[in-house]
Amino acid sequence: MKKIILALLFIVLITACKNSKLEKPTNDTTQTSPLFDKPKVDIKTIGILLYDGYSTLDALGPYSVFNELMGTKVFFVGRQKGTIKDAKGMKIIVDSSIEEVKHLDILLIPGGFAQTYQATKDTALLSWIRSIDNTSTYTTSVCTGAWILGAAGLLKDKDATTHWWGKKILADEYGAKVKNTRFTHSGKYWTSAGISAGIDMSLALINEIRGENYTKTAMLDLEYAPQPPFKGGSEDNTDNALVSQMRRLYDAGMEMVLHPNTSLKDIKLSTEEDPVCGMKITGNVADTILFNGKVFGFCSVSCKSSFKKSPATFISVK
Amino acid sequence: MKSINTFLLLIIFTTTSLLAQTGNNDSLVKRHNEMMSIIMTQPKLPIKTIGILVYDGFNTLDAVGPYHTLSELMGVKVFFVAKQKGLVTNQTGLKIKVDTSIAEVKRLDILLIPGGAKETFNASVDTSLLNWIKQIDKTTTYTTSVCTGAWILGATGLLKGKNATTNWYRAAEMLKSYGANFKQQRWVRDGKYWTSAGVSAGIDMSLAIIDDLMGKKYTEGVMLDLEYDPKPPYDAGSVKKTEPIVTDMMKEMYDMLMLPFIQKQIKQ
Repeated sequence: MKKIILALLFIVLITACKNSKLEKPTNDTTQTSPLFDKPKVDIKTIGILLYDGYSTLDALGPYSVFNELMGTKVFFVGRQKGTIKDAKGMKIIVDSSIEEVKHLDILLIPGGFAQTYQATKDTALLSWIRSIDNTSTYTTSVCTGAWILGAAGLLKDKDATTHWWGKKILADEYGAKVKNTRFTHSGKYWTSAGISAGIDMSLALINEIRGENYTKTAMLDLEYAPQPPFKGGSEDNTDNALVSQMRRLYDAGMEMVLHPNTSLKDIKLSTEEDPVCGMKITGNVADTILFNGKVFGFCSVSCKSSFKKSPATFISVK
Repeated sequence: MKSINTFLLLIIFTTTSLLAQTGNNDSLVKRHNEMMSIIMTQPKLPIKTIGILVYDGFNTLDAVGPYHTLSELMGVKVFFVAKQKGLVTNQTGLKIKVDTSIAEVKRLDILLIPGGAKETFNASVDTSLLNWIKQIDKTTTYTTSVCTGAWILGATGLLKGKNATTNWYRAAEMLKSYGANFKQQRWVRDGKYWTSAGVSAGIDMSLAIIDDLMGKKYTEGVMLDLEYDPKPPYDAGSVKKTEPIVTDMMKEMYDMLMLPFIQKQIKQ
């Protein structure tokens, strides 16, 4: 609610004027505010890069938080203009493409999975990132967005972090000095751990730019006093067995990105998704079934066998 | 990162191929079975569809936090529903293309209503929208709201006599006006009605819903995928934890923007 903060500053200004008639009014409300520190740096534009397959909260968590910065334009910069789909199918209409954006005070690169890794090979994108980085005040990434930043060559020998599973790639392929922290920064390069860590990193950036009281105001507006159902969410506070199971699972997923199974890709399917897991399977079909005159594709034999046991659990059976 | 669904199922695929290659490797089989037992946990109640109601002026994270979190439920379709199909613009200019209108949705297993500011209040007096919510509520397993989304839910009469919560701003007065009892909690559950505090609280409520449906082990997996181990810069973010000077000014601000709209409601 940027409006609220604007209005808040307006009142602060009035109060400040009432209290000190001697003080010369200035155009910059923030300077007269007794509650908020003067901004450390002037941030006018924050661009959040979007590409098909980005992870939703990686981008939209920071988008929400940064919108608490008064007088700052926070907007999306698409790999291309128009509709961009997140990893789950949400469609955002993006008005600016990377070709049109020549300068940003803050650039934020969200992560994802397969398509994020593909973006690390997108040379036009990487050179745009380097050119934006030439003039940015902060260049940042959330989650595996650090892979893209790394691929642009900007994290070499720098402290950085990423999603817990993506750390090996960040270190091995891009030469970053990987830290096990919620977020870290090396000069103007800020990187955060996975997905939800982008919220904490953005708040830390607001804190860096505007100080404690402003940050607390933003936190109250977002009612950001998190209460997870139980302790967890990190490698070091989650059951080891679960962590290693999840790790194998991501490994396998990446293996599939590098060597997709294409043998069944030409089969025409009735739905784009595996009816059991809901995963998009176009091009990655492991098996199929003919049911009620429809061909359903599965990402795995296990999904097919679950489906065979009880089709009605997964599709409406008339 | 991409939803856990994808990852979980990807591994099944790969593990299956591995099994095929290695034959009767006991430890692989065991590991695979362990994984399957987590992944294939049957939900306590069958949930297939989750609809998130959006309207012009909705607050981004109210809707998108739960959208992302609830999408971690395997085999569940999570989608946006709006009064009209097409573009819906949030409170800060984000444009979402919504493919489903309320007229097309006859039932949902979970309905989630995000909040916002004055547009949310306007939605709370939109009779056709309220009628749709009441209709959908007859079919739901859970009916939920985030932040001031509780105003809309309250306006349908569904929170009457129930415990609920909402954004901290004039929370008790607003909920009372709908006949609900305000509880100062991160989220509140009363029967099938779940309501959360402001904005980011929707993420915690969604995790609690996943925990309710799938149990702790599955939820831990989700939290690990989301790397949800929050470390806010300050121990703040709620009225209790914030200095009165900040809270009072924020309330004054909200009043300036919202009181013209909600004054009549509070006095009722």
